[in-house]
This record gives sequence, C-alpha cells and structure tokens, in this order.
Amino acid sequence: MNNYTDTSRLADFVQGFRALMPLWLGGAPVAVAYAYAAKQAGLSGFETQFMSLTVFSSTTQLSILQAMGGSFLSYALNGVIINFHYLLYGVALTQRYKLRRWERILAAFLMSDGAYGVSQTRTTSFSYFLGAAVSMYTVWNVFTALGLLLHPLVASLSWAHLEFSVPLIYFALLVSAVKKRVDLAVAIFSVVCTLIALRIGLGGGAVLFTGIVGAAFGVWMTRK
Amino acid sequence: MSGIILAALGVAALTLVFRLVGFFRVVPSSPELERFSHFLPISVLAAFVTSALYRQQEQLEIKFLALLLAAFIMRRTRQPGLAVLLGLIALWVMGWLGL
Repeated sequence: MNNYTDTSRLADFVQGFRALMPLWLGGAPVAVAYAYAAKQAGLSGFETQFMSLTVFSSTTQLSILQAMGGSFLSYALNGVIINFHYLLYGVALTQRYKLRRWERILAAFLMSDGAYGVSQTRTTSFSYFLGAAVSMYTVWNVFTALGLLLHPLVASLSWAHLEFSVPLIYFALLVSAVKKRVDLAVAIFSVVCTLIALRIGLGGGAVLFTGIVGAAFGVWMTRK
Repeated sequence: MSGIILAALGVAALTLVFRLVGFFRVVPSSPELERFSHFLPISVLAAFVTSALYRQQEQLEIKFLALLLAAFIMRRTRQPGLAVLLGLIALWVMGWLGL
C-alpha cells in the first residue's frame, strides 16, 4: 500500500521550503548584489530579472556580467564549468530518490547548492528537496527585483560587508557536512587543492577541479 | 530581442542539458559512487569557501575569527541562519573595535 499521500508530499514540500529559509540570509544579499552589478554593467531591469528567472545561478550570472562583450562561447563555457558539479548532484539525487522524467527536468532546472545541501542533512523525500529548491528560486528572484528597486540604497550599505555572508553560509553548510575525521581530511585537502588551482590560474574552474579531486581523495582514503 | 536575452536563453538551455546528463545517465549503484557522492558536497563547499575568501582578502584575519565563531555556533545550534548572522555581527564588531 502506498502511504505517501498528496498531504504528506505537501507537508514535506513545506518543510523543505522552511528548512532552506535560513539560507535566504546568504542568497538574498547575493541577489541584491547581482542586480546592482547588472545595472552597473548597463543591463535593463527586464534583462536583469530575465537572467535570474532563466539561468538561476548566481556564479553563472555574475560570470556572464564579467564576460560582457565576449562571445557566446565564453558565456557557454563558463556556464558549463560552473555547473559541472550539478551534474554530479544529479547522479546523487537519482540514486537517492526514484524520480519521474518531469521531476528530473524540474530538479535539474531548480538545482542549487543550498537546496542540495539542505536535502543532504537528514533522510528526506523528493518533495522536501523540491520545497527547498523552490524556496531558493523564490528568494533569488524576489531579491533580484528588490535589488533593482533599491539600487541607489544598496550603494550606501557597503559598510555592512554583506558579501561576506556568501563564504559564511558555505562554511556553515560545510561544518554541518563534516561528521567524521575523514570528512575533515577531505575538507582540508580541498582547501589546499583550491588554493593551488587558483594560484595556477584556473579561476572559475577551481571549484570543478577541487570538487572532483577532493571527492576522489575521500574515496581513496576510505578504500578497503 | 537583445543580445543579453539570447545569451541568457542559450546559457540556461545549455546548462540545463548539461545538468540533465547527470539526472538521466544510467549509473549502476556502486560503493565507490556512493562514497564519491558523500564526499562531493564537502569538497565543493570547501572550494566555494576558499575561492570566495580568495576574492575578499581584505580583513582576512578577522574574517577567519568570524568563520571560527560561525563554526562554533553551527556545531552547537545546527542553525545556519544564526551562524551567518552572528558571524556577520562578529565581523562588524571586530572591525568597529579596530582589531
């Protein structure tokens, strides 16, 4: 008998939506900062919001702004490199949940580091992940719009160092993911790998490089 | 349609297709892949923290202290929002005290 009803799906969705809400504190300032940077780069309000609605990736959107005036190939390569770890998240999610075709497409579109991280913290259902993903999509787009509206005011908040909330939120998620000594070893190894990758000029590819090498190091450390 | 709208649509479509490779690839379950999936968020999050700090190197010492405080709060409360808020407040206070 299938006990997983629409009511429990909705309850899981709401729980996931709420679980991600603390991460709004990290996502909202980045969305405002993106809107500010986009306006400074000369994008219209519609173009700025359209990117948030369709691309939905802070690093990809900011990298498009940085590469403005370049070729489509440069935008596309940036997008693929920055999103590479999402491919691996997809593999992990399909192992964890039994997903239908439309659920896979929806999850791929709405995927974010925050939603993936929150859904890994305990035993969850796909509805829980979806709630967390929609939560981040909502805050990202609402705060992009607010950033456009409050464009002049944001310039006066430079004293607050809101950009520091980005590494803080990633670090808080990292701390919650590190449970054993081998996890800590992988985290330290990954920090060193990233520093090397940045020093040799990998730039945006540093996350891709470290993601694969760091996880492979963990697999090697736990070999039988 | 402006160039940036076309670029956004193109990048969105391409990245979605790329993400779907992970979702539709038939991957036989194996202990190695499960362990890889376990370690992946740790290595990616560590890379994000490091590369974000690499780009924000001013006041690095007090940022490390704020991160340590956030880690302590996170361990004790399991509340990422509280950890981030207190980490930011610590940064403001230490900056204000001129540390």
